[in-house]
Amino acid sequence: MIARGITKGAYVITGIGGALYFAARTTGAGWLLVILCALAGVLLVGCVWPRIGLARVRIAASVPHDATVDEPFVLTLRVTHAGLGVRIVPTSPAGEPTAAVGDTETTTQVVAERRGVIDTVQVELASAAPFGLVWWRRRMTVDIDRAIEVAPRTGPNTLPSPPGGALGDVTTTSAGTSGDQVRGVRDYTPGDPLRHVHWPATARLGAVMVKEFEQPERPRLELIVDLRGPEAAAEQAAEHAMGVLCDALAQDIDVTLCTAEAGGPRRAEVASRLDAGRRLARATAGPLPASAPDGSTVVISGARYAR
Amino acid sequence: MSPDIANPDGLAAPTPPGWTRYIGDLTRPPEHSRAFRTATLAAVVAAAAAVIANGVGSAWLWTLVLIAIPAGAVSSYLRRHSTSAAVPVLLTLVTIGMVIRFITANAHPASPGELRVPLAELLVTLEAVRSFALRSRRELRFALASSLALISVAGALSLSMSFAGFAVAWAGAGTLALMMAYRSELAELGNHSAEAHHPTPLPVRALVTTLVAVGVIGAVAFLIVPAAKSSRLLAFTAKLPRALSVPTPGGLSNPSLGRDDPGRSGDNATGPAPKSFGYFGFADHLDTSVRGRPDNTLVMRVRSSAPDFWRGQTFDTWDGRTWTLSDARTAVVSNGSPLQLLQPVGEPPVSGEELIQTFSLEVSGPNLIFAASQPTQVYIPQSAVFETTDGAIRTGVELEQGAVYTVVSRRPQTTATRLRAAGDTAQITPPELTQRYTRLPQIPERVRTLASELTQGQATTYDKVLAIEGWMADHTQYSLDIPPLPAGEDAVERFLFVDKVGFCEQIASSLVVMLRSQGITARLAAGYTPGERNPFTGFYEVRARDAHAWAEVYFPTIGWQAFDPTAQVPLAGEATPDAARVGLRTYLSRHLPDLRSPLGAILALGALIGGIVLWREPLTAMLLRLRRRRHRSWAELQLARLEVIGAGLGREREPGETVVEYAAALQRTVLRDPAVGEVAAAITADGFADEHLSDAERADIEQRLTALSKA
Repeated sequence: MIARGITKGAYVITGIGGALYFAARTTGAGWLLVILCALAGVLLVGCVWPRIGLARVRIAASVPHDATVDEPFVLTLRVTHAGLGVRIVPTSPAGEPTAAVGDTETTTQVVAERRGVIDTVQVELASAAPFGLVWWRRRMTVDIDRAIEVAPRTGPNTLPSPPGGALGDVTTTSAGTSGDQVRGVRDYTPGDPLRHVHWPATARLGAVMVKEFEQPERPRLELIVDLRGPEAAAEQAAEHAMGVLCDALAQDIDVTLCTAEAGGPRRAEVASRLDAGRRLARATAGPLPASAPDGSTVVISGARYAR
Repeated sequence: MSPDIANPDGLAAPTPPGWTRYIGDLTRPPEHSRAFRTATLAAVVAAAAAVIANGVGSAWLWTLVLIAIPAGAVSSYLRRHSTSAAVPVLLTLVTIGMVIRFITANAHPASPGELRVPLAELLVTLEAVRSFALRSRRELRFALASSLALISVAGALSLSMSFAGFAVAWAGAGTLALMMAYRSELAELGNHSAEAHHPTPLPVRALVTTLVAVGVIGAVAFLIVPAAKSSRLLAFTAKLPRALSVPTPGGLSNPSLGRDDPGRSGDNATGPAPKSFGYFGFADHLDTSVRGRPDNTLVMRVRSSAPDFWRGQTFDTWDGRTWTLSDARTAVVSNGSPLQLLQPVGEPPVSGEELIQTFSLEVSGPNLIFAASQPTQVYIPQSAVFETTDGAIRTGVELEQGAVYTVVSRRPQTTATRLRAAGDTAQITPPELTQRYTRLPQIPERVRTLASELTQGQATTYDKVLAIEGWMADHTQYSLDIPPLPAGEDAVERFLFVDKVGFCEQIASSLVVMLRSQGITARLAAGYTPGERNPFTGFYEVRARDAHAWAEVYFPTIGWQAFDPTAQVPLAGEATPDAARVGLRTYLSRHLPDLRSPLGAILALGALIGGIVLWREPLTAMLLRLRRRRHRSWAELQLARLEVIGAGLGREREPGETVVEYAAALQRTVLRDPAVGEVAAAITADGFADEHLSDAERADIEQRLTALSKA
């Protein structure tokens, strides 16, 4: 805990105090000494009180589960023993300053500057209570009620449409069924289009039969994100991956994401954009799972961005 | 993203267009806190009222304070959003005009001291003008600072405790205003929280604790701060309400004695009765058979860095009952300002330290200039004073209520050692002094015999004086209730051998007579004892009952030295602490309610109950902590060490968090050392799982904690 700054007010009080002492010692006016002593009390309390008050402050934080790099989110701070008031500045993730008085709950907006999983919040407390004369500062690590998974920014969309062409460094294989192959016939039901009537079967069975088609097979994408390499390049790769994932999900493509996580390699489908963000938030540099390409395979490598 | 704490105003206001941007505070955001504004207004009004209550200005200034300043404050609040430069420019012009008027009206003051009152008036008026331009927080803070200047001016002007009420009001409002300014500053930051829009009320406990802390620290500071004192750096105060000449130039006048006033002859039977505060010793004679003492009226305040007898005049001739002055001729002293006093006839000059005394008269009294011995200069707005041959000073005008004069005395730094070192002074005293101050009428033989017996064997004059004083202390009593002196009886003999009770006139006369009977140069002096020192004003408050008579003995190279068995006045050379606290205990014991009295007990009980109610939660927590600390086990002690390490790194243990959870949190956040987990496991095992560790294991854990704390 360090003294951050002495305000002009403290200098003014000190200066006037000095003048009062000089005046008292030359004019003999006793009341000036009484005022001087009161100023000394104000000055000393103003210097020491923030130091004591800051040591007593307790903070607990609540955050949303998900966040995205450079996008603000709300940090809720439950502050106790703030006494006559403290100024709170989130430093990691950085945020807007806020203030708390007594036991209270306050919110502020913070912005994560990096992708990843955040399980603590760093704040800087500052107080000049009660008189605003000398600011004291204290850094504090605040546990949060759950980890924040910070997704990367959504990078440029480089996924060609339709899948099957050249993507990234690897070429796709197998595009799956198209959905126009006849699986069998069934009885006609009102509403079936006329062009689906299977005339040979109708003729053979004597009742109107219509064709039943195979369900069209959805295109699949295997996205391998390799974050090994320089940090900045890895972040760029993650952003690119996020862009590809978002685009693929928008095109209703089934995506399987292969990443390295703290617990080891992971290969799993990505159900939504939120899921994609969380997966990429947890992604680290490390050995990747073996891919099982049964659709398009895209490899996004941090090493590529390092070039 | 780091806040700019150096810029307490935080948000920037829109810049006004054109040249008005150069009017500084229009560029600052307006202050919205009504609480801050109200507290500032209260502080300013209290300070301005304190100035006026100390004799500055008149009814119109009161009107200004009570109406214009609040009106200006309200106007400033209502116009706080305006960035128009018209009002600030107008107020600046008014201010310049007032300053010019002040300078032209006070271009040639007789002394810098004469500027005090007009300057105070100007400050109050400027404060009233400024109250219309309190737009931003900075301007309000400036108003608070100028209220500090005003209250200081009032403090410098104040002579009495009546200032205390204004000072307390100003201090309370000023402290509150500072706190409100801080809260207002914080509230600007809370834009993202409900706090900004619905500020919580000021915590009463925190407020009271703050005020108590300021009071306690202020009181401690008062105990160690040096006392206020007068210095030659500034001109000394001197004023006379009016110059009403005394009946006889150079003569003594004392209207407080009524028909006994030496300045008015005749009419002794039909003249006015003496005032209750009139002392019969301030006349051309002092009759020891007179009964009755002055009352408790405050007669004057004396600003002096040391206590002393405030001598008015002396008597050299004793007739067995009454003291008179044999040579009442006066010399005119008119040698400029300050008036340089003459050396008393027959007395060589003495050297010593300066003692500056300023006397402020609270009632009209004799035309005597009181002073500690030996006065050398007088500051008084008169071209001349009159000095008698014994060094007493009389003015040519009546000294009425409100008169102020300053005397510079030169005091030899006398101590018992130095007085004793003077030896037997009878042989070395200048002959004319010996002749004048050892004369006695025919005194009763047993008085002379007693004096001779008491001083027998005493080698020095000082020891002779002490011997007689000692005997009197043992064999006589001080009392205001004494029998009348029968006609024809010697007052000293009656006091020493018959009544053995008396007051200062009998005691001092007996001392002088016995000393003279042994050839020691002595005289009777009349004046006042120092009075009670008011530690807050720094003044000695001299009351009529402090009127006194005492003996003075002449010591060559030292001068006249006062002796008095009944008054505790230290010798000039005895160390008196240069501290404001001098007299504090006596003053408080006299003016605060005694704790043993019903009022004192009720007040003390109320304060105790109030304190317990207000601080019950922290007190309870502290008591519980102390109790726990006394009975802590080894595991609890180590846990406390771990908590200190964690807190030092910014991660404190949360309520309800287990040791293992806490250690895990530390490892995850601020202390990535596997030893933390091992220490936590050991503490848990020893303290909570009943698996007591061996001494070696405990020592190992303690070492690890030490290593962690160093890391």
